[in-house]
Amino acid sequence: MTSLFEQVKGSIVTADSETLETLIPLFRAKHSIDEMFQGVVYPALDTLCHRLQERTLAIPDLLMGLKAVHLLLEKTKAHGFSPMRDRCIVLGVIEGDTHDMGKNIIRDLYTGYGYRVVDLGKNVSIETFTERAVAENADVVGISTMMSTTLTRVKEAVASLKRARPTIKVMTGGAFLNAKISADIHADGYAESAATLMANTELLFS
Amino acid sequence: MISIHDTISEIDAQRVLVSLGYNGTARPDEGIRNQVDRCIRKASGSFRAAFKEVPVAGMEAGCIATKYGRIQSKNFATIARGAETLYFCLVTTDGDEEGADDQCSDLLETMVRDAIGTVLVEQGVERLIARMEEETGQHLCLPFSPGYCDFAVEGQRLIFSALAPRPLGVRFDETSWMMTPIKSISFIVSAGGAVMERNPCKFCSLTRCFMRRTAS
Repeated sequence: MTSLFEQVKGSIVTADSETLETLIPLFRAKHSIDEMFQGVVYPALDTLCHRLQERTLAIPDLLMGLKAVHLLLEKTKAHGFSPMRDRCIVLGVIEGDTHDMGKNIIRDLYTGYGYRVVDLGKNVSIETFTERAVAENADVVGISTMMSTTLTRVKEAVASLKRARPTIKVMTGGAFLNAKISADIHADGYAESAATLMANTELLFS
Repeated sequence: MISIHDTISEIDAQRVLVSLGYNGTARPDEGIRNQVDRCIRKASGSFRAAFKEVPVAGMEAGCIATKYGRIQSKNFATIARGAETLYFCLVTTDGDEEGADDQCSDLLETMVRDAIGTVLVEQGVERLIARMEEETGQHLCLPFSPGYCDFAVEGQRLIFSALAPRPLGVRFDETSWMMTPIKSISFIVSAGGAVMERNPCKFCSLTRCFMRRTAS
């Protein structure tokens, strides 16, 4: 018989909110918030990201799964109680670029995994990135751009953040970027897609 | 500059799904398909387009001279060889399908609406080219945009200088060259009376380019 963990995880992966709602009270009666994250939320999101990477799912399927995670966290009042809650991620799209779809997906994925996320939005100046990252005591700053023309600004933002706090980790992402360009501009990491985001993020902390 | 306002009554749902990432082994489930259909029904389908005829002033290897400046692109110069004239063009949507995240808390719906905006403006470009061919009796090549292939993104300035100050209300960022509304496409096409090669990608050596067009 399928365990309750597997059933709840399965309802997230398939975005079956009706089943999920019926399972939540049963699950909470027996298990802690920590068990919920470790045994359900993380494995479900890992599965979705893995399927995204092997291209058997697309981003909309991941978003449906994230909606289910959001429903689970709402119903269990677990927002802010994840094991990742002490890690702060500051995200934004660099000045000159307003393509924020990718950044928003990354924001929701980090939130689903329970990180504390500060979303600066789009068209964000280097000064704002730096000031907010310092003020929020960010562990990671994620800078997104979809355009080659804003690369100089991304490079300047990385330098500005490192000057402000040398230990801060900066990760870049966006259609035009890759690991080499990211390394060339002295970023600490590069997130190719939502599918590999968590692995790329964990590398920064290893 | 000639401008038109038109409507795409049938936004291509299959293209929207491809734009959402369903272009290989991933298959959209019924919920996603329904959401796409629902958003398409709500979309206005309205787009605006502008174009201007720009005579060729001269041609050399990898470069075409016009009264507005030089188009530096070996691939476009190759396809435009023998062309009688060029057209500088712009297509934009009314912005209904973008900036949706400001009004909509549902990221999935925002993404679907964004994909619809992408497909709408692409279908708008196709509609404009078909209409120009019909009205001018000329054969046009496929659209060639600044920032793609070997046409530097700075070519944006050339197109805008030929059209009008803020044509159709569209503007671009002086540093990033990004247009607002986002769902806008600026491009050039070559035109001639004789049937010409239409696809500039045929002359391009970047065979793995993700924008490569296979249509002839």
